[in-house]
Parts: sequence; structure tokens; C-alpha cells
Amino acid sequence: MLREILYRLRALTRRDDLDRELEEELQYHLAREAEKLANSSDQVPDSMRTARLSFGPMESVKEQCREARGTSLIESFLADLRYGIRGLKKSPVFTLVAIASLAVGIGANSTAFSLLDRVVFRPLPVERPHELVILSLAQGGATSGFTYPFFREMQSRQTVLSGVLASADYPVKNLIVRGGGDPEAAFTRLVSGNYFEVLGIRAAIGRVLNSADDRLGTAGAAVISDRFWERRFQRSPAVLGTAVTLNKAQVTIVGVAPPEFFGEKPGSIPDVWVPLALQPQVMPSDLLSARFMTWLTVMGRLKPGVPPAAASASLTSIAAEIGANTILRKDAGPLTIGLTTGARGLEDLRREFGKPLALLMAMAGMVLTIVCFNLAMLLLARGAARVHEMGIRLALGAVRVRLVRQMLVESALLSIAGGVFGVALALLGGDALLRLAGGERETSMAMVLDGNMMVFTAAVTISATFLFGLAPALIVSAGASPTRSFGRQGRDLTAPRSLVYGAQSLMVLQVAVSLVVVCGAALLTRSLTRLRQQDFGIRPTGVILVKLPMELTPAARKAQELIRGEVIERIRAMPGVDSAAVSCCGPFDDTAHPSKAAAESSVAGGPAEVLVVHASEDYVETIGLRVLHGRSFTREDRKEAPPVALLTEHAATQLFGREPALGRRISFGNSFDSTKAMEVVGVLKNARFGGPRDEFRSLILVPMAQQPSPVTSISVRASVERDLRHEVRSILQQAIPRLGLGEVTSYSEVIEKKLHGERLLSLVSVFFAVQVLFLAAAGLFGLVWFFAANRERELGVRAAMGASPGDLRQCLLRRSVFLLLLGAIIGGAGSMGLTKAIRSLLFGVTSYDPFAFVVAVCVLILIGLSAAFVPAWRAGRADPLRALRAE
Amino acid sequence: MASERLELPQGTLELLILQTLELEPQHGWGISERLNQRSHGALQVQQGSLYPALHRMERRGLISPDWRVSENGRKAKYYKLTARGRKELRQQSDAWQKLTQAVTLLLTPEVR
Repeated sequence: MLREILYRLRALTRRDDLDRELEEELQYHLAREAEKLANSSDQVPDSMRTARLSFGPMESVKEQCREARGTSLIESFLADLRYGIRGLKKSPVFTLVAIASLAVGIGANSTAFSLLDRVVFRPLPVERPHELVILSLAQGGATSGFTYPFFREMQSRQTVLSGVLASADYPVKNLIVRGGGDPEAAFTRLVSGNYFEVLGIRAAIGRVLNSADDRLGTAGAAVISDRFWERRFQRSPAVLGTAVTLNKAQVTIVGVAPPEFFGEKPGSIPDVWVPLALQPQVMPSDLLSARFMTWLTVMGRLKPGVPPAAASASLTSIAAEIGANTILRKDAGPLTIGLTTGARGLEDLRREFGKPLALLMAMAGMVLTIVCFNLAMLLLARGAARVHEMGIRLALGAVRVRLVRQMLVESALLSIAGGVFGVALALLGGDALLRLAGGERETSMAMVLDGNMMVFTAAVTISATFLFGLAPALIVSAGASPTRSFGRQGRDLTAPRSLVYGAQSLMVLQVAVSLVVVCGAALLTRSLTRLRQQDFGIRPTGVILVKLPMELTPAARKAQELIRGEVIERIRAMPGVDSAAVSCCGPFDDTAHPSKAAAESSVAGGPAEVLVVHASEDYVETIGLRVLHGRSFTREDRKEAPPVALLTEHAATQLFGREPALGRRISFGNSFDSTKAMEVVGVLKNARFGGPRDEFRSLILVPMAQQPSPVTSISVRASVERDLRHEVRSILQQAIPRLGLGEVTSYSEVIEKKLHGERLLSLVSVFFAVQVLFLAAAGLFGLVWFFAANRERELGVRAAMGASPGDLRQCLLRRSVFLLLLGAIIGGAGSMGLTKAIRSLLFGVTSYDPFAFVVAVCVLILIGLSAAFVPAWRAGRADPLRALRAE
Repeated sequence: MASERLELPQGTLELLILQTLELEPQHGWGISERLNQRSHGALQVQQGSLYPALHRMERRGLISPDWRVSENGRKAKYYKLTARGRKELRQQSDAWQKLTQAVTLLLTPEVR
């Protein structure tokens, strides 16, 4: 055994010596044989030649001997590698184009996969994620979260879960943190005290929250995220014990969460976690004792061996004991508690980004496929030039398998280089892309090189190698034959037909897939334009928006009063300002909480789900809502004046059906309450308050003077070109220096931010489309060049027979047009399928958008033809003399 | 004459090489000549195919190389049997004997 290893080692390290020995050994044999023949009685004349003939194929014997050494696999692989590198060095342009296009193709796939993996596939970074379940209340077809009292009861009575945690559905964005630096807005999440314990998360430094922190009246404790630690405290260990205030809550930072932990919602990374007990001090209203506010998401960890169905049944019976039936609706029948798997956390981000990311992945896949088709074509064209060489090598005794392997090694070299650059591109480009597309801070993601991505990239690289390398290798090696290389004319000039057909089919496929990608890009981009230009029901252009934090401290209340009075007047008086108004909740902010409203003596029936906006006068005009009937708010709608309200059409229809709403009375709550009645004085055109893709929702506007509420935003309409943001900010800072400013932005910006997913998709798809078009052009250019070279002699003969250069060009271009059209037809069918699949991602465009399709086909054919024209034009000048000389 | 030559059954070439080398160390050409002579030309071993077999056997440690000056004054690669090779030869020729005896027995018409 040892001996064999030593032998193989020697064989490997002393390859050249052994080869020389082999050569010597075989030469000795031939010499002796020739000697024998020469001295024999027959007196063979050319004894050396006869000796060679009776010996057999020399190269093949050598190869077999090397194989017999047992190291030939590695050895010949190294030889192939050297051969491959030499070959690639010889054609640097081809090599560069191949590696660059592979890098983009593979990089795109790695990027898309990495995002998809983290948003959709991967389980939460917690202990034993597969035991986690999400609890949901279901009653009469409706589902909801949990109220605080119900959660506490449930937590103490249940026996099937080893732990139950709750986290608030309302993320508290823009919560001002004071202490340990300048006031700053932080994204805070309220969680039950056992949150970290149930998830199995230990603190990176300090400790996590515990149940003792979550008791009413105890000193507040907070855990911060790694990102926040970095951002605000520069990773100083002294952060532990730092006292900060969050709104009215005084809390001490007790720990920092581990860097990989982001909570139970993938992609949304809070800055601070505080116990639920602090809710009344952090948010404007006390939800802890609210018996009907379902604001908690509840998750639990199943005890080992308890099947989910049994757990669900047990929890449902406990719910009945607690008397939870009153939570949703009294009359909606029995209430059940359902369990869904919580291994991957909450759905939110997955629902929002799952499909766009899947589309991204699919497009990246198509781009890589095109890259592979393109490379395969180029390799075939290259192979045409090598068929002759290979024929000679076959004649010398080379084995066909070896030829195939050699070409595959060359392909592998290309794709490995492409893969390496691709990963680099994914890491750099992916981040740049995410930044370019923008997005809200708390959902932004960064590219990280991890194990999954490495494995995926390796798999993609290997499959790409076979996808573009195998077919050309097989076709070229099959096309090569010794008789061909030593044919009648010494050398056959045209390539084997299989090669030509192969290249043509690849071109058609490439055109087809390209069309699908280009079509997809056109549709997505048109959809984005439609989203931007749609009628929002408000006029967002030229409106500056100041988002204010909801602070509840006495100082903040005082500041709010100032804003409502003096500050807004000063802003109104600024030159260039048309109007200004304050409100609580407005378009496109996620702070609006749904509420119920009921009408007096309505035929339409029950209460309506509505969003309530508290607004000052001028609000309707400032943000550009349109009054259809009646009036908007005026200065006369004072505290003492009769209470009034404005409805949007949608709300009016929900409350009053087809009857006119003007002059009718409504109130908030599940049923009409005449003591809190408001008169409808105006009906507004519908507006999209949720976001560009949101449906119209029912809105009720009430005067802030009559129904006081904190100010969360200031809207300013300016008619001048000049951006007044800076001035607005300085007025605010002068008037209320103690109030931490949220953000000064504009409605157009807010809309763009909301569209970042769509923008990312459109951006990436256009990038892909450009790449694909470039590849198609390069491919067609190469192919026509190859045709022209392949038919050089035929074209020359034709020229000699009197064909004009134009005829020759036409003959080459006709072929290109045919290939392009064939590809377009196949691709057309393909894009119908694709667009049908992505219909839910499109807005305002039908999936069979003829405009996008026609544009895509035209662009593709135009680019294709101009690429084909250059080599065709060159071929038109075929020299008849050269051709005739060769004949 | 060529048509009367016999193809070697799979695996017997090694046995023949071992047998040849048992007498004395020999180089490739010498082995080929010896095989030809001893079988009176009935066995046709393509000269080239001898070498891969030799190299395979060298790897398995049945024979070991030995560079010497040959009878015509040139340096040549001689092969000699190793202890393992001897053992292998004994086993293989035993097996071959048994096999041929059995096959011969089966092929002989039974005498009643």
C-alpha cells in the first residue's frame, strides 16, 4: 500500500522524468525491432517504418502508460489546465467578454439568491426555530391579534407551550431618544419581558430583558440592537447602565442584542426593545387595559411532543374559559386559536418582497441562461477554427474523451473566474443597488457573504460550465475527424453542418429569452411610471412635509401648542408659501390607526372601518384634496362651534350607501352616539393614503380645534421653485429648540420611498435588459462574422460569377432576420407566460401590454440587425480572386 | 498466418509477462520476443499493448524496474519480478491450470 502511494507520488512529482523514461523505453523497443528486421533474412527495406507499424499507435500507447501510472487523471488535468490557460491567453477579447458577462450573470444570481434567502427561505436566527408557532385569533372568518389582558390570562393558564411571548404590532418609529448624545429618532419595539428568553437569544453584552422588567411600576429597562449600539454609542461597553428617556419613559440600557438578531420580522431591524409595561409612557394612549384593542402579535414555543393540532385545541378551550368571545364581535360565533409555523418569523416582509424577489431571481436566471447560450455560440464559432487541429490530434492517437475534457476545462476556467468576480460584484454592486433604490432605514438590507451564498454560487458556476461548455465540446469533437483534416483538399474550409445548426439554434434561443427579459423590463418600468403618475387624490408635488415625533412630555406638549399657533402662522407668512397646515396622521405615514365610525339612521347598516385624520384649517387645500360637495374646514370650525367632519366618497358610500351624505350626522364607535355627533359638511374625492399601491380607504377628517390631538406632521405648499425646506427647518428650530425634529421631507419623496421596491425591480430589470441586448448584439455580430468566414469561398465564387456586394450582404442579412424573427416569435409566447405570472406586481398596465411588447421586439431587431450589418458589409467585399486561387 | 493467430483472453497477458520474467529480468522488447518465440508465433501480442500492462504491474508492485546496459550496449529498462510478483504468478498460474482443466474436461466428449 505504502509502496503504491510512494510510486504514485513519484509519478506525480517526477512527471517529466517518467515521461522521458517512457520515451526512452519505447524508442529502445523500436530500435531493437528495426534492427531485428534489418538483419533478418527478408532484408526489410524501411525497417524503422515497419517497426512503427507493428508497434501500433504510439501516442495512444503513451497515453495508456501514463494512465497505468494511476496519476494520469490529475496529471492530464493539469495539462488540460495549462492548455486551457494558453488558449484563453491567445484570445484575450473573447476571454474578457466571457468572464465579464459570466461575472454579471452569476453576480446577479448570487445577489437575488442572497436577498431571497434572507427574506423568504431562512429560519429566524433563534434557538430551534422550528418549534416556534404564531398564534392567531379567528372568529367568523376574521382573524386578529391579541389584547393585552387576554395575552396575560392566556400566558398564565396555558400548558401546551413552553413559553409565550408578545410583541406590539405598532412599531414605534421616530421615537425620540434623549441621553447619551443628541436627541435622535429611534425605531422601538415593545415586547413582553420573556421575549428574548422564549426565542433563546442571549445578549452580546449585558443581559436581555426578563419578566421582572415587564412589571408595571418597575424601573424601565431596554435592550438595544447592535446597529444602534454602533450608531449612537460607537460600540462603547460603557453603554450598559446608560439612562435614556423614550418619550415619558425613563429607561436604563441593560444589554445589547447579538448582531445577527433582528427580531421576529425578517428585514425589519429595531433599534431598541422595551418591555410592554412601558407602553403607556411610550405611546399616546394606554393600551394595556384596553379590552378591545388587539395590538399584540403572540408567538409561542411548542413543548416537545405536543402536536400543533392538540395545542390549538387546548388553547381554544382556554380562550373560551377566559371569555375572549367579546374581543372581536359578540355575534360572530365561537372563537378559535390557530397556530401557524413561526420558524421563519412573521410574514410581513415576505409578503411584500417575496414575489418581487422571486421575479428578480427568475430574471437573473434568464440573464445567466442567455450568457451561457451566447458563450456556447462563441465557443462553437471558436471550435470551427479548431476542428482542423482536433482532427490532426485524433489522427495522432488522441482520445476523443480527452478532447471533450480539454474543452470543458477551458469552460470551467472561464466560469470559475466569472464566479469569483461575480461574487465580488454581488457584494459591491448589490449594496450599491440597494442604496440606489433607497428605502426606509429599518427595512434596508446589506449584502453579506455567507455559507448559503457561497454554496449557491458554486452550484450556479458549475451548472453554467456545463450549460455553455458541454454542447460545443461534444459538437466540435464529434465534428472533428482525421479524414476531414487530411481530406481531399488538404483542408476542408467550411465548418461541419452540425456546428452551424448548433450555433443558429443557440442564437434563436438567445433572442427568445432576451425578448422575455426586455419585455419584463418594459412592463415593470411602465408600471412604475403609472404608479408615480397616478391620481393619488392629493397633489403631492410642491408640498413639504415635516414629520414630528409623538412625544408626550410636558415640554413636548408645550412645543406642540406653539406649532399649532405661532409656528404655523410664521410659516404661512414666509414668502413663497401658499398655505400650511398641521395634522395628526396624513397620507403615506404608517402611524394612522384604523377606527370605527357609525352613521345616524343609515340604510347602509353597520359601522365602517375608517382612518381618522385630525387637521387644521387649510389642510384640504394644502395637500390638494378635492372637495366634491359642500365645503372644507374654515377658521369658523372652532371648539365652540357645532362639530363637523369631512368624508371621502368611499367613506360616504360605506356609511350612507347611495344617499347623499351632506348634512347627515355621524359619530365614532361601533354604533351612533348622539352626544358625540358630527355633521358631515363636505365630501372629498377619494385619496390613496396608505401608499401608491394601496386601495382607496375610508377617510374621515375632523378639525383639530374641535377634537384635540398631537401634531404629527406639518404640510407646507410652496409655489416657488426654490426649496423652502431649509427655511422651514430653521423656523422650527428657533421656535422649539427642545423638540427633536423628526424629518423634513416632501410628499414626492415620501412617495418615492414607498416605491423603492418597484424602483429596485425596474432598475434591475432595465439593467438586465441592457445587458441582454448587448449580449444579443455581440452574439449576432459574432455569428454573422462566423457565417461570413465560413462561406468565404462560396461568397468569393458568387462574386466571381457576377454577384454584386449588395447581393452577398443580403444573403447574410436575410439569415439574421430569419433567426431574429424566429426568436421573437418563440420569445413572444414566452413573455406572455411571464407577464401573466407577474400580473400582481404590475400596476395600470395589462400583462399583454402591446406597447411594451412592440417596443421590446423593435429594439431587439434593430440592435440585432445593426450588429449583423458590420460583418455582412465586410463580407460583401469578398475577393473573387482569392476564392478562385484556392479552388 | 495472421488469421491463425490467437487473441489473448483478458488478463492473461499479465500472467504471461510474469512467467517470462521468472526466468530472468528482461526489457519490454525482450519480453515481446520471448512471447513470440515460445508460442511459436501463435499468440499475437500487439507490441504496443505490452507497455501499459508493464506500467500497471509496476504500479501494483509485481515487478520493479532496473535500468541496465543491454546486450547491444544500450541502456534499457529491465523489469524483474518482486516477491509479490512471484506470489501472484503462483496464484494466477494455479488458477489458470484449474480453469483450463475444467474447461477441457467439459469440452471433451464423454466416452461411454
